[in-house]
This record gives sequence, structure tokens and C-alpha cells, in this order.
Amino acid sequence: MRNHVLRSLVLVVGLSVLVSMTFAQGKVQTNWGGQAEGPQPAKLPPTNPNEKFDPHDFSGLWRPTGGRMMTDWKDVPPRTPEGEQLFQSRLVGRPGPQKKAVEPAKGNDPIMTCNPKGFPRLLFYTGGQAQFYHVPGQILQEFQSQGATRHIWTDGRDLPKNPDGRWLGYSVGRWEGDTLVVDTVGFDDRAWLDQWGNVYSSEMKFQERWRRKDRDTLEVTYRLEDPKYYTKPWVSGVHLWRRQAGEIREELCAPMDELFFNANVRDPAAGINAK
Amino acid sequence: MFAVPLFAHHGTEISYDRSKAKTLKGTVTDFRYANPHPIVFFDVTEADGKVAHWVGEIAPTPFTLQQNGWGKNRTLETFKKGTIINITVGPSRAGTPAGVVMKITDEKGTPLLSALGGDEGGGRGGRGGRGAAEE
Repeated sequence: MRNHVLRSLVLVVGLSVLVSMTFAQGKVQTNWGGQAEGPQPAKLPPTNPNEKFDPHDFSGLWRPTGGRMMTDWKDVPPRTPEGEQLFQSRLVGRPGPQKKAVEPAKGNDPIMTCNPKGFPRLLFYTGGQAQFYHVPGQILQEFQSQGATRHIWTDGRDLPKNPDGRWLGYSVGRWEGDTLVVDTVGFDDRAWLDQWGNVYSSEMKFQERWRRKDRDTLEVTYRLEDPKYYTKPWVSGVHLWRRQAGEIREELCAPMDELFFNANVRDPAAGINAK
Repeated sequence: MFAVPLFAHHGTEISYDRSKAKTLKGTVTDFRYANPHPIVFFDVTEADGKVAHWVGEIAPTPFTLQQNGWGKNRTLETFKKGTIINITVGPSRAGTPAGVVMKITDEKGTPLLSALGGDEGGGRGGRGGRGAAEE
């Protein structure tokens, strides 16, 4: 692990120097939201299955791949009456087999007004990408979406006994062989699990098992236990993340943009306050 | 011409009806390149001479547009105020002058943004590659 830490620190310092030098030389054109646009990054070379990699090193830029959503309807366990009531109160913009959709302007998804997606919704956002870092005692997951950074403590600490609710929860990781097992507790249950309004309570226990299958592939499975809202655990299949070339980009949710979009697009599209 | 895969915000197909796509000749009055989705504002002069103020939702996010070569500067330059466009939209089901943009050509018919049709994600995963956006 010490090697990972050193490698990550060297990488971060090296990149910082490189970026500083590049800007200092005036070579970077800032023409996309203040960010460097430049040419498209080169694609990664094809994965060589025989290429060596460190299975304990997740550092790099990763993106969930297609194939299926991480929350699949067939996986959803039966809800308790309380869980069902909350689920049905959520008005969503995309239809699913268990719920009709409404126009987004008539929905109540908290992210429509720039509230945090929270974790694990960030994990389920298949359009996003994330930069993973190893730093002393932690693995960081910097999600492009909403610019959220998740801290996974790997210094041997225990989970908090009576945690405060947090949008991203409180995460502790440990290695079981080549699998990183991450347990998370202490959730803010105002966030939704996904775009369909699936629910979780502040008492949820969420476990992920991450494994680097090859140089460019991370797989993760998860187990959600929340007896307040579900009658049995929610266990997923395998989901893959693919290493990316390129850079993480700024994708903050600015209320001034979101509210402008609501007033000028979502609302008129739904016949609300149409001009 | 760049075809940009669609990564629709959830609910796009609820608000709009692509099966009733219509192509309009319009004049760009503004273009907002921002999250959650870029917006093109354009005026359309109707048969009776009245001017309708339309709004078009660009389903791909700025991030997706940028990945496909449509950075902010290029986009704003292409769609600057006063530009004449032919724009195909899936109109709002509410009958308001709002639509999800499916294709834009210039005045001569040269494609600009295109392949903006079809709702990806959809709840059952994407088409691989870049991955489909959830929302």
C-alpha cells in the first residue's frame, strides 16, 4: 500500500507541475467553460490481457460502461409498506414498470433543483466518470457529476456507531485479497437512490466489492441492506468500469443554470407558464 | 458535420413527441451553453407574419457535446445571434413552442448538429462505448 501512496503522490505532484508549466507557456486555450478544450485525448491502447497491473491500485480515470443500469428493476426487493409509500410519493420523469412518469417540470426529483445526488446515486449515474486516487489512509473517488468527492477510509478505522446523515455517507474500506470491500453507513435519506425514485433510509448499510479484473476494467457488486424500507437485501450483479483517457471535467450543478433551464425549457415544455 | 449521440435527461420523451417531428426555419436569438442541457432560442415567422419565440432543448449535455467536438466557443460561434437555421424538433406534447432538438442545418441545408434523436438510457442500459447517461 505504501507504494501506491508514493506513486499517487508523485503522480499528483507531477501533474500539478505539468499543468502549471503548460499554462505558464500559454499553450492551453481556455474556451470551454474556462477549461482547456484542446484536441481530443488519444485513446488508450487495446487492453493486453497479459499486461501486468497492480490489483490494489485503482488510481486513474474510470467510467461506467454500458450494458445495464446498476439499479435494475428485476433486482429491486419487496418494499415495506413505509418504503412503498415513500417510493410512490416520488414523481419521476422516466417511466418504469412500477411507476408512471410525469413531465420533469411536474416531478419532484431533488436534483432538478441542483440538490446533491448523494451516494450511491452517484455510483449509479452511468453517464458520469470518476477519478480515483490513493492518498495516505484513504481512497478518493472524485465524481465528475456535481463535483462530489467521496472519501473511503482505508486506515483501519471502524465505522461510526451512531453516524450523522451525510449526502455521501461515511465509508470504510479494507482489502480482502485483491478485492476492496467498502462499507458505508450514515446516509442522508433525502437523496434518491436513482432516477426512478428508489428509496433508502438513513439506516441503510451499503457494501461494495471492487476488483480490478485487468488493466482497464474495474468490476463492482453491491449489497444494500435497509430493513426499514426493504424486506430483504438488494444484491446486484457485476458492473464494470472502464479506464478512460482524458481528463475529468467540471460538471458542477449551478442553481442559476438549473433554474434558468426549468423556467425556460422544462416548464414551457410541460405547458407551465408558457409564454 | 458531427453526429452527436443523444444522452437525454430523464423525462425528455415525456415532455416531447419525436414522432411528430417538425422542421422549422428560424433565426437564432440566443444560445445558452450550460448544464443541465444547452438551449437554443430561435424565432420562427409564421404564415400570418407573426413571430413565434421557440426554445429548443439540446439533449446532449455540454460534456457530451464537447466530447464530440462541439466545445463552447465553436458552438456559440456557429449559433450566434441572427444565424438562420433549419431546425428539426420533437415538439412539446403541451403544444407550446418548445421542442427537443433532433437536427440543425444551416441556411443552405448543410448539417450542423444532427443525430440528436432517440432516447438513450431508457432504464435498461446503454449502447456501450461511452455508456448511456442515466439522467
